[in-house]
Amino acid sequence: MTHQAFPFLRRSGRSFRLALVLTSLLVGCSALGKETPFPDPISTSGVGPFRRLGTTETRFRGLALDLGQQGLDRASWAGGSLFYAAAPVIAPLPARDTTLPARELDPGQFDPFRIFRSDTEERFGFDPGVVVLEASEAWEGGFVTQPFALELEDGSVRVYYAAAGGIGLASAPSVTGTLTRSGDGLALANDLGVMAGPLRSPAVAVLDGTYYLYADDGTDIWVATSVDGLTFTLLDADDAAGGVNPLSIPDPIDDDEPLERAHVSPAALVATSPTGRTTLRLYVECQQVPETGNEDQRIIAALASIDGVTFERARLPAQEARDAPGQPTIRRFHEGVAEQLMYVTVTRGTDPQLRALQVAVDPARANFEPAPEPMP
Amino acid sequence: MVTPVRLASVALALSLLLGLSGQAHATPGDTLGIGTRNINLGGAVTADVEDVGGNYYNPAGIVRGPGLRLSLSYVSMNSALEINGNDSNVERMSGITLGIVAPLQIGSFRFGFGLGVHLPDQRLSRTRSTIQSRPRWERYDTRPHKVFLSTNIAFRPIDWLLIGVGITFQSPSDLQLVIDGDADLFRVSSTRLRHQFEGDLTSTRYPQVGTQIIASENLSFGISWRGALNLRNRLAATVDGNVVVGSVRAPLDFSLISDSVSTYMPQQLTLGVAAHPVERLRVSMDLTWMDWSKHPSLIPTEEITLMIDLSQLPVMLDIPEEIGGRSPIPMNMRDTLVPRVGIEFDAFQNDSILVQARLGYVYEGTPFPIQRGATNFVDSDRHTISLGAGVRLSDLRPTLPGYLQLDAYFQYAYLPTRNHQKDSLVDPVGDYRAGGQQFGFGASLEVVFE
Repeated sequence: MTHQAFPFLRRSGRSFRLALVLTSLLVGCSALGKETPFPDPISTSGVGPFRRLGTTETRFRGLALDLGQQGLDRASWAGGSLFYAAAPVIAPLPARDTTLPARELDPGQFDPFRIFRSDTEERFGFDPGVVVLEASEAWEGGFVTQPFALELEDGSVRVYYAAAGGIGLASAPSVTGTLTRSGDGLALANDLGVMAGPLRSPAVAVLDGTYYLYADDGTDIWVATSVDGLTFTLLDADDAAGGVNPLSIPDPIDDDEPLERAHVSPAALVATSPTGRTTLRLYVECQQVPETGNEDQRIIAALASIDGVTFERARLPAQEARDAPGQPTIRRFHEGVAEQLMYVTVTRGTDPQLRALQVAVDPARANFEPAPEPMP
Repeated sequence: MVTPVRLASVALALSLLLGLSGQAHATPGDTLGIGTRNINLGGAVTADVEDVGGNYYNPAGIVRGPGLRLSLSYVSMNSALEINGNDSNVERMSGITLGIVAPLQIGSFRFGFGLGVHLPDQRLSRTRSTIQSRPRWERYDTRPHKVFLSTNIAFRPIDWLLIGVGITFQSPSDLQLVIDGDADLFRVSSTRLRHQFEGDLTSTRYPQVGTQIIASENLSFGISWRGALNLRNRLAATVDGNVVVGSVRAPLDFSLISDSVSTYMPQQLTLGVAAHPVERLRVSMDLTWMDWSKHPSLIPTEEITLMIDLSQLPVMLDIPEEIGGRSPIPMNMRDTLVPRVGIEFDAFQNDSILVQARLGYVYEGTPFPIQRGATNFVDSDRHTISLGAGVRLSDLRPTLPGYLQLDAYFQYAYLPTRNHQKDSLVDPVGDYRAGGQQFGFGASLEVVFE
């Protein structure tokens, strides 16, 4: 039947079989000794170490934002937008506060900080964007800074920020919407009776329906909780000790690591692993005790927690570099493939502090080199 | 006068002695099986195997058949194994199996020899050291990629009792690298280094013993035991030279000794039964105990020593005071029981041809624990089902005083997804899910002289 329908099969049957044998032999021989690569490394815990992106992988030669002669005070993502605080340098430049650590930004050398949003990203580089929040409330003391943007499931966004009186909150119906305060916007007031200084660098994550707010006082990180994310109550992170206590950040695991004098500028992220386990991750700037002279070394440590209060610290720093990375922020990037860490470093001297936003990824093997141009 | 039984006893003792003189090791047979028909029956052939598979499943079967058997087969298995949905790049396992089974009779003494060889078609042997932070499918990544060579003898002291012994060969490696000379830090062209490499692929053996009891024409029992296989690799690298800056030389001594187990297969004890409950139908079952709990650590023992005197050099070099090696981590594996079932049905038969349909099933529970700590040896349970057929052409005289056997099968294995959740929330690897499927096929040609 087949041969009647397709007479060429009968005529070329022998050739067809011969070709089949030859093809099989070629396929078989071509596989001989073929090396199979090792499986790719896996990194689902987000602890890094992160790899700083190269100059050819990014739009601004490794930087996410290039502000020129402006001060930069932390950045954060929500959706496809970057929120950051910035201010121009005062002219003539006031003398720097000599009591500050070498890599600490001196607000006295800048105009009041405001919060910007950039919606344009190209190869990890953002345009300067527009001002989305300025100080307007009395408790803010004339500045708003160090934003942390949290996008909710309904698409709305909440921007937590630091100001003179504590941690504030402004909301928008969408990431690119207009930010408005609810009431005076104060989400958590400073409690200088227990804290070493005013609260700074807020970070918020939602774990099991509870909002966890982390903020530092210049030395320690405090945690506060809320059911609605609008107003927070300070939490005692150590029931066994008396009074109200900040988070206990575990010491570095390796004994030869320098001692740490402060843990500041947390970034928070809730992540669910491939096995379904949900953890709250913190990325923290660890300020080390100088070993020699005025060296002010910093690393970014990764920590994780099930309950948002008790944290386990990763053995290796998430980011460690000679330019003292600080003020980390994190976003899920290419779900399941890579996570992206941004952090602030000092790039143009310390007086005034003109800092840049660097980009790093985990796992380190993730490559973002542009595809080569096709040959003409 | 030496009786046949005494001869057999001496042969048995000698074989055991030979086998036990080396450590025992892993084979492709454990992953793929040996012999197309045997694989097709799920390996449930310990009670009545009589073809080339006797060299692996039960050496007693060598003396069971009617005459000389020559066998050639090709088997292959492709893996589609994944971790977190990403392909794990597990290499295809395939190769050619050659076998001879020669039952003989001198007077009333019946005995036989068997030889089985499996040659992987990708490479003769593959060894990959373990990177403990990189998950890999431990049972399928390198273990099957080995040459399998097994020699066996068997005898039949009485008609219903068959006894066989044998040894299987594997090859561990012992590698040495020696480098000496001067390394100039700033003038690379002035660097003069000599190196010497030495590699030995030595031989190691493991024993196997088996027996078959023919209770009746329709009922057989079998027992077989295989020794453990512990394939070690040793790498010794030494550097004895000088670091040179200008005219100043700093002596440098470096040594690395890595001792690892690249492959381990546990001792195995199998009980089998085969029966013909009705005409034209054969049913068999095997149950194998595998002593996985004695699995040694696959993490190499490494000793690293670096000695260099930098005091005379005019440059600042940051040399760590101590370079940490690695230490073995317990595998914490558990013993397993592997059930196997095989069914063979004579679908068609006349004077010149016999067509048989076959079905086999194997369940292999994973011996590896959930990887909660620093190691990442990925494995899952495996359900394997095989479907195939055989054709026996028996009216071939005078060209062939016996018959020609053609067999082929298709195999599917399912490895359920397993969650590996780490004890540490900040484990560098993190949690992952691993599972997948495997697809195999095989075909063979066997010539049987009667």
